Amino acid sequence: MSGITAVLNTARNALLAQQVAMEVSSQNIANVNTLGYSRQRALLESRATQTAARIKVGYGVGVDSVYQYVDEYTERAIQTKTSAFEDYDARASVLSHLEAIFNETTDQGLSSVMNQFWTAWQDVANNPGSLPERTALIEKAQILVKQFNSMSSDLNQIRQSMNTNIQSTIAEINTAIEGLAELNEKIVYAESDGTTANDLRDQRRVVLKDLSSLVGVTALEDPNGSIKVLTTDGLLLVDGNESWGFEQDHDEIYYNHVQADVSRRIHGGKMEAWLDLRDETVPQYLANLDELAGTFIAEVNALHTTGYDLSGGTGNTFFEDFLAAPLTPHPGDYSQAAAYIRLSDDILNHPEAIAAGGTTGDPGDSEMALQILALQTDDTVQIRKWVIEDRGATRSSSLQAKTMDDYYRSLTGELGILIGENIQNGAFAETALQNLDTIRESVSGVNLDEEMTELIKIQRAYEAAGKLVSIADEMLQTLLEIR
Amino acid sequence: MMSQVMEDRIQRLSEHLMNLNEKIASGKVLNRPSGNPTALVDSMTIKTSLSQIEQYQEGIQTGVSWLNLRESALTNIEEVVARAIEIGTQMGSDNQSADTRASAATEVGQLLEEAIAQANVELGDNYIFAGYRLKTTPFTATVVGGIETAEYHGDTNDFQLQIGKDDAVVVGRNGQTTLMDSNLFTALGTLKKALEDNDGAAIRQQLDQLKSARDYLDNEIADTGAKGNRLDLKGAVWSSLTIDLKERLSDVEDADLTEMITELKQKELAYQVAMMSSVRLSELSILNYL
Repeated sequence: MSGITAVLNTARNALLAQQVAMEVSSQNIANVNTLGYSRQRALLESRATQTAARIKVGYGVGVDSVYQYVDEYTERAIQTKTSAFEDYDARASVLSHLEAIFNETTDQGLSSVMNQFWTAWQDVANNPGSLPERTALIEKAQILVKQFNSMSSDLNQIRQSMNTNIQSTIAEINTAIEGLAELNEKIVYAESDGTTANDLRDQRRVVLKDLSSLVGVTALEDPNGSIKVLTTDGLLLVDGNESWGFEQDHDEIYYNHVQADVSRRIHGGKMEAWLDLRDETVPQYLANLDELAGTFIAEVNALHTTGYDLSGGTGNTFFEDFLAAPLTPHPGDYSQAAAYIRLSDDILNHPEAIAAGGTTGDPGDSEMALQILALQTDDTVQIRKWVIEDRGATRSSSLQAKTMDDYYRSLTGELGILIGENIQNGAFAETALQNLDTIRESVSGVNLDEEMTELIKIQRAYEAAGKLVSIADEMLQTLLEIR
Repeated sequence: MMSQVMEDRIQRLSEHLMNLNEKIASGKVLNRPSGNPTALVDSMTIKTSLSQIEQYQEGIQTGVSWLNLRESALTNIEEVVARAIEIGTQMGSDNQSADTRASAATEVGQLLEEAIAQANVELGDNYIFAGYRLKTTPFTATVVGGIETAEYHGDTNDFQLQIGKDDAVVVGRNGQTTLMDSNLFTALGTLKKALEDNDGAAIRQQLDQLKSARDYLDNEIADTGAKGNRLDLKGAVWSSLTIDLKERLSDVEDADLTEMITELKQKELAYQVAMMSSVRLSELSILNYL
């Protein structure tokens, strides 16, 4: 149609279109604080033109679509960086526990306890025939073995708590992927009429980001709007409205109810932190601590059993001797030595049975005490250094010749460097993430000032369209009053 | 978006402030291994060295007590021998009567007892001339072939103390080497017998014995003195090393309070300014103008 009715139609279309635009703007304003919300815009398009007497006149405006301002590239980058950042963050909190165990900045650390042990041997060497020094040596030795025991038990506890963390993270992962599957279904249904389900997509993006913080994933979008989600190593978690999750059985993680351990195939996010700590970092420090304890037992006992005590007897062990293979610890394998080390019954409560003497055990014979004392500065002692990689798949050791003090110092130094590195990496990832968030906000974030100005625009346009209706109405009146 | 950025900045500043506070409160820059791992290893090494040096200082102190007692005991014994030589010289001349010789013999008898008593001297409850048998009385008076002398019950090992890495010093040379081998007890006993027998020739013979015994003792005393000097020197070395190490430890561990407090003031200012600017910015809104 043409003429004034056409003008009324145009005005009506304008009012409706501006209303929709107003709704979209108010949606943005209402969601200014919503996490993961991407601002929307109504896309107004001029309606098709009508040819009348070789003159083309359009008849109004219509809302073509409501689209979201989303930068897919930044969103993917955020997901990846979130995985990395959460990995470092989770690791940092556990590593600080580890740091507390090996904290040598106080005077209660193992290094200080070892120093006191050697000092006690010196006191015995200075006066071998006297009992108080021997009793003091037994006390200091007790402190030493208890320190080893408690460090070992603390490390094992950390390891166990990793399994607890893994359990709760797996529960979160399973919930997240079920949520994704649901959202996939809803989105496919909602978009089946050709429109985009903006708010559902926003929700799905939020869930996907949460999932990335738990485990490293990649998402691929299908043409129908649903996404496939896989772990970085290729395990399919979500496809369409179906999802396949994980379960945990002690130290193993099963995928999709198949009883095979997939923990080596899970990377990124908090899972990476828990698994690395449980299978690489903590076992490595435990193994090295065991080596140190085992070396103490081996070296001190080797000398002590050839020494003479105050009654002239020989063959006493200072530390409880090793177990017989295949029980550990035994001379070829020092596993568990730190938990095992304790004073032997030969000398516990028997200070006179400490073999300080080298030839007769007389009160002035301090030869064995001096030899044992020399262990402190002996840099030819052979100690193994363990390195565990690939989540426990590769265990290798190298024999080093250094003093026991030196060995422990390098262990502590390495831990300090490891933690420092992690903090650096974490800080870097955090900054990168913040930058990406800023970029995302600049694209998808709601700026209240902008929305307000937009509202003013729409309001005026609405007023103008309304004016158009009354003018067209007046013109019609004029027409009707002709007769 | 702006508020998020401001929030992050403020959080970072407050983290810095907390770190500084920790360092100032504890007085140490080294509060955890990750703070400065190389400094931590340094500090551990220094602490171990300090502990070792303390051990050696203990050894040196004990050694000094041993050597002092040894020196005084040996000096006393040497005086005994010197007195015996005096008596011997006097009584050796042929115009001495049997009576004077007899009373001199009693004195020599007492000198022998005195020598044995000195040789049985104790440091605490350890006999210092007994070798390793520190709880056994090393010398007892005995009579061998009619002559009074002393019998040795200790062993032939020397008590040593550690005063440095691979550095042990003998502080208690055993009684056999120190005293028995000088023959002084037998010499004194024989002199007494000779005086009792009124045998001038025998008396003069014993003089040579006693003189060589005295020379032997002089050597032992000199050796003891030399060892004492060595211990003093070593002690001085360890003392000055201890001071150096403590200084180094302080450099590595301790916080420079002036520096820390200046930094604290700076960060505090930055924090306040950041908060002020974020408040200002949040007040700007188009809503104020509509």
